[in-house]
Amino acid sequence: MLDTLASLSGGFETVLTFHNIVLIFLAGIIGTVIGALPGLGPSAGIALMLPLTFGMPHASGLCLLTGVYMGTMYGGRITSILINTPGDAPAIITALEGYPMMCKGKGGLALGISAISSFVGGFFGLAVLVFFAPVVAEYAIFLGPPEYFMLMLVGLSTIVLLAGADVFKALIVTCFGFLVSTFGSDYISGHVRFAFVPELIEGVDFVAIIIGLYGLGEVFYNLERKIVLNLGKPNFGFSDYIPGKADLKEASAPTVRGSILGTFIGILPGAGATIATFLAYALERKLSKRPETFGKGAIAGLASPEASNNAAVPGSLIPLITLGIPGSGGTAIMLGALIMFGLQPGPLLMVQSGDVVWAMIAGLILANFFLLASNVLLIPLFVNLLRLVQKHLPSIVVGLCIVGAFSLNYGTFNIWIALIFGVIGYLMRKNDYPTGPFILAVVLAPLAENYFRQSIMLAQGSWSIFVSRPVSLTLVVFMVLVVCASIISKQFLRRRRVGTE
Amino acid sequence: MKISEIILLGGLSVFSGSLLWGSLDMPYSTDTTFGPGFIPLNISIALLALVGVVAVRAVLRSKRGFVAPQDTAAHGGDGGENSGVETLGAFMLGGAIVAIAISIYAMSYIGVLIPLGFLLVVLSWQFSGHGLLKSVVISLIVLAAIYLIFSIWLRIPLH
Repeated sequence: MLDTLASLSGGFETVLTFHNIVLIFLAGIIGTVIGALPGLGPSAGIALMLPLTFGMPHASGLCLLTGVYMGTMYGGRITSILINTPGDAPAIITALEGYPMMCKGKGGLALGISAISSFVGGFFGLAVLVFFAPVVAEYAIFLGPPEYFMLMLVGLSTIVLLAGADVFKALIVTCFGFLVSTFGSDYISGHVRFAFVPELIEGVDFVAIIIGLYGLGEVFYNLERKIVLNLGKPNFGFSDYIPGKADLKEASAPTVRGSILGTFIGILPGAGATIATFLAYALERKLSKRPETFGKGAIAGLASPEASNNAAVPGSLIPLITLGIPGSGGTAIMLGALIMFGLQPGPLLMVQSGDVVWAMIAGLILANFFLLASNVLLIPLFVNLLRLVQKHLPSIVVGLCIVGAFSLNYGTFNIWIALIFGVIGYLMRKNDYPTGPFILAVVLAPLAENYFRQSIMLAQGSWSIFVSRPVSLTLVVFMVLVVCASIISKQFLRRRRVGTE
Repeated sequence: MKISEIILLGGLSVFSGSLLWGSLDMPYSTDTTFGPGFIPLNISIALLALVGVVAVRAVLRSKRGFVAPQDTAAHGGDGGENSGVETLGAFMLGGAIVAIAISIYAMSYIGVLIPLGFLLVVLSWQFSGHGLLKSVVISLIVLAAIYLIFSIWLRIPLH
């Protein structure tokens, strides 16, 4: 416990510089704006910010990315409540209760309550992250290649959860991700694979892929559909955002329940914030003495999912930091960012780069406080900023994507890659092919392949190594459980959705 | 199956087919472990098989749809107006992609900023439907912000 607190204070020492404080504050605001923009969720936010981290110290770069990640969770609720258009998937449930409140003239109250619930959820998740992650990491350093390989497989097995309605489509994009990841030098044999041009010797740049897939792909989709935002002219007085005592009392118990649920759902690989919000909403409706008020502006139905989606962010960072398993699309990109920074995600991360990890956690705690303040004080500014840029969004996003891709190696090759994946992203979105499994495969497949081949080498060609070691066998069982739980929870959610409708 | 899905699956098939062909030249296994050709070969075959499954499934579904045309009407698809709007949207999208491709090509010769500026104006004017003057002003503001952040702050050579 004392060691943990000492490490955390070390993280704060790194983070508490003028440069980092400004950076974290801006990251929160940028994340809030991105989260509020329909279609641009956490994955797109992190992807767009990734090029800005080049040349930054690792701790600052990670603070920027996690700040944006946390900010998108705060921001997603704004357009949900104001115009019934969720900024990202976890904010879908927020619209169910937030928009009816808006229609009743309580939009300001909905924004205020959701901001406070988000803060409490985020804070609870961070507390669990601070005290739970070192415990997991302590035991995780004893793992070898077979266990690493099984961990990667556990991560990949979460594709079932990210799959959406059609598992075949998810499997297709997963295989595609695997193949994209095979370009470039093979680390085991040194063989260069599919380097059709010299730039491909190092493989296809992950950042260029996600810039194209999420940034350009989204612009292309909106351009074809002629989707133009119409945020209207909300006119709130500042006092509207501060909830009264009675409202806070009504929101308190659901917020606590949502925080606990969100954190633990976030820890489960592949589950993530969206599932957490659906479960939190279902739980509140079940526990409510007046379930008939749900869907008509129930404060409990707004507070609990909002707390849960923010709690899921630090929750999903626990398996990422300690085991190298991304729990969501956003953390899959974070995993790529860690690799890009030259850090080694997995059990050794907290041992070899503990200072950077603790600085990132300290940055997240700071970001959570900044986000509460900015989301209460700056809501009118956010709303007007969104209204200002909404009609020029395609140009802004294309500009950022092109310059971001150029920054990767100061050449046009990665811009072409981004354009190609932009078209692929558009085609995937248009035909309901999920992007989450693709990203997961691109990130995890090279690691899984290396660990797999190392394990087979270690066992001199025998496959029994994966079941003869206790930890590896446990992970095999866990993977089976994850797949089964994913299928069961999907069935559960489907029934719940039908019930809600 | 929509044309866009056929393009996607066709592209994936060509991609996996070419990697399958390329992986045949790589060692599949060594004395102690699997070689660099193991993953590309097996995954390419798996991808081709999955594309085949989805294509066959789509064909079977479309046959069912042909037998019961009321199914399509129930989903609000009478073709006509919607397909016209979709075609226009597809042309717009194609134009935007060509404009981006031309500006990327120009960037290899004259730097990023000038072609990007032109691209932003074209996107705003022709594809987002703003007036020319407004497009130029907004593009200049965006370009200035990009220049400040990337060129001045992060020292990335954009020109």
